[in-house]
Amino acid sequence: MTGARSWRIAIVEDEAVVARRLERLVRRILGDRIQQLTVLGSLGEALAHVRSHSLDLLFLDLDLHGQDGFGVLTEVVAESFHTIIVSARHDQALRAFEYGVVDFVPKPYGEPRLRQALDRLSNREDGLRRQLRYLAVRKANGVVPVPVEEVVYVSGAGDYSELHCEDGAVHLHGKTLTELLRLLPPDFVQVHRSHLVDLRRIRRLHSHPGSRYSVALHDGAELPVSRRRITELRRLLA
Amino acid sequence: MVDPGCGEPALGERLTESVSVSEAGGWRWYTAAMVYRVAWLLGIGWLLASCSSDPAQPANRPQLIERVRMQIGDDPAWASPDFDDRAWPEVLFVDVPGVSEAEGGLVWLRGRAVVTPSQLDSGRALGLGLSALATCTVFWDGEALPAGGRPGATAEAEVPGPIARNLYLPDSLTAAGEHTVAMRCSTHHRGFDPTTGFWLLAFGDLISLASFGIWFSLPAVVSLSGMVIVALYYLALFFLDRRRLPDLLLGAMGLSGAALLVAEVWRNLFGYTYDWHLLRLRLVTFFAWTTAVLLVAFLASRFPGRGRREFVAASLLAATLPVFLCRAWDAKVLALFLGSLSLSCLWSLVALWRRQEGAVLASSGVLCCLGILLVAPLSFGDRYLYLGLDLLLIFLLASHARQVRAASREREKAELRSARLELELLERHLQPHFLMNTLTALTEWVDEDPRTASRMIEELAGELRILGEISRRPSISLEEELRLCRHHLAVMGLRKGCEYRLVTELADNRVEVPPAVFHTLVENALTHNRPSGEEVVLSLRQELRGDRWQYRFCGPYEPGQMGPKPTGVAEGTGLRYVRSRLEESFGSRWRLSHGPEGQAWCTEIELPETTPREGR
Repeated sequence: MTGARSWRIAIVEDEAVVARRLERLVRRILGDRIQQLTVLGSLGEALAHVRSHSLDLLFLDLDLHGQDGFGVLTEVVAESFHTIIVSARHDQALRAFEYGVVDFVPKPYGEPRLRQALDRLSNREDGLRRQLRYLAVRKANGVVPVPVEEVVYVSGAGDYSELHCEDGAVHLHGKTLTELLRLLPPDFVQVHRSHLVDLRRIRRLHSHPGSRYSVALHDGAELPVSRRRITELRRLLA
Repeated sequence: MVDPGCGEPALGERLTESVSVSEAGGWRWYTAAMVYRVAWLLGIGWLLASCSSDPAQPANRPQLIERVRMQIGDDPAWASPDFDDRAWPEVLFVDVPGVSEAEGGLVWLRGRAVVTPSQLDSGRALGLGLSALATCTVFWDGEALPAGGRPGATAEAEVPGPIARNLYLPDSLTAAGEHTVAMRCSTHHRGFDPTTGFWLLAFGDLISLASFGIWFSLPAVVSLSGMVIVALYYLALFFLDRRRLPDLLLGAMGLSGAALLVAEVWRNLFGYTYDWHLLRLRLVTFFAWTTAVLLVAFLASRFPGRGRREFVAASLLAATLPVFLCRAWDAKVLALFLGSLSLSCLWSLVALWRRQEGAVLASSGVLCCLGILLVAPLSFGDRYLYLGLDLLLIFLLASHARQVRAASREREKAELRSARLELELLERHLQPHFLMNTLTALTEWVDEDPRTASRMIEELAGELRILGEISRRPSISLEEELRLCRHHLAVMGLRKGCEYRLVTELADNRVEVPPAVFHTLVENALTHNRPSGEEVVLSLRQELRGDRWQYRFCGPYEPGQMGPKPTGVAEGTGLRYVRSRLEESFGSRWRLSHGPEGQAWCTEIELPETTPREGR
């Protein structure tokens, strides 16, 4: 983990001894960077907890088998916090990654594996990010998965992000641009403080008077490019 | 291997097993034997068909002497070819009546036979064929031919002659041209009044005459062996498994049909003096009656259903009444078969309508039989009855083969189901999910409290060991099952950080139960429940009510929170396993119900007192 950031963490685990272990290890790794650590017995309690407390990270013991588990997964990945699945169902890891969890820690685990999961939160690891296929967005009628392939660019909107899709639709996502950048595939690059663009959708790079730059996208949209990111962008586009 | 719920194993299989071949090989052997038998019977059908044409060459066809002149009385001069019989009334040979002692006791018949040059050229011995319920002395142009027996004016004086005879005519007597046949006959030993007592008078070459009766009997003789084999086969099936009443009835029907055939062919193959004829007719009628009644009984037991008593009663009536009501013996047999076959047909069609297994083939067989009867009623008793019975047996054999195949498939399915249950038992408990969660808790105990960790390892090993031991067994004692449950509860307690206690109230812990049934209930109770305190109590009560074991298992339940939802995935598979196990062991003789009762979720299982079946 990086920086002096302090973490508000929740652990959802219905087996007392296992929950005790996870709590003990997390405390040992993060030490005094933990602002708050709550152990909850069920996801219902956890979601209620989120309503009243803000959260940065959720450890979730989840059996994705069946509709219920799947529903719970899309539910949590639409939230603003990051989710790490801790599960004995090893075969479900891929699916979890597709929906945008930060990591999947298979049981049983030791301290090193847990430390690695927490490190992932601060370091972008391409291998991990390639697996994201959906971004879950909360709608009036529930959470729907938006395929990442359909997202053209993402704009920051305060605590939220706007997903601009190729069909013109704009979806509001609960995570910030920075958090999304941790999850999105490497094709998504930050061209501006408040814009992430899929490189493959850039038609050309325009330079304007006054050292101002912009990118024209295939669908006609034009986005500003920060001056400090132009060199990197040129390299990626070459 | 008896599965009380899923029907008994077919006998055919046992038969093949007793031949001590591998199961698959046994099945092939059985099929081959069946096909052979059916083909053989079909061969009979072909023979029958080919026999219905006249075996004699057209040129050598015996010449029927259909019309004769008749005179009651006695005069040696009437034998002479020169006697002028034109004053005698001319009658059809088959219309010649019997003559009582009061009427004079003797009747003379005179007819004409023509020897053609072609008959002489054929070089075959010529002769007269006579078939009648009478003792006759035959004169050829006045020359007496020895025909067996001696006619007499009174019963005492008459020595009964054979019912059928072929008389050799020496060459010296058979010049080309017309000859006189005179017969002196008496009929005192008939014992009954037949519609016709003089059946056949024919002239021709002896071989054709002799082969006539043999050809006529051939279909019956050929059918006979086939019918006996099939009958013995079914009787063997019955004696291997006494519960199979339809097999006994079918076997008995086959034997009765065979007896009927013997009674029929007795006349043509062995012959007898005509005074035995009544006995033979009685035997024929009796065996026809038993055959018809056994067919009815077979169909009734093979295709049970509402109205069975009425069917049997009506058929008995239909088979019995003609015996007393019809005068002519042929009519008795014909009417008896007509009545019982029609009702049998009706019953098998009802079975067909009820979609009873094997009804298609059985009703086809009965329909064929009835069809043949309706198409050829006059020759039915003599010839086509056998064809009908053969066809019926062929269809029933085919139906039986299908049944055997269905039973073998059912058994294979049951074996597969058992194998699947075994696998499911192991899979559900040795699945990575369970082990990984357990190992995760174990790592915590290793780090924090190695003593507890080592206890947990022991409990886990205990659970896995018992699972391994019982997974291949169809049943285990309740005691063993509870030991398994306690190991599991200990492991889960160390995972969930609480103490699980199983309180039992048992009448007999040696009772055999299907493996891992209560273990599965325990698992379910734990999966859907989060311990709220230090100690969680589960209970199992066993008691004998009447001849049924009642089990009542209760686990904690928090309404509205994590209670076992009937739609829940984990509970679904668990309960499905329990139901499959119970069904495999007890067929349909078990009952399971469950539901919330206050702070508990209770499952009640009712099982028969018998132990689950051993072996597969």
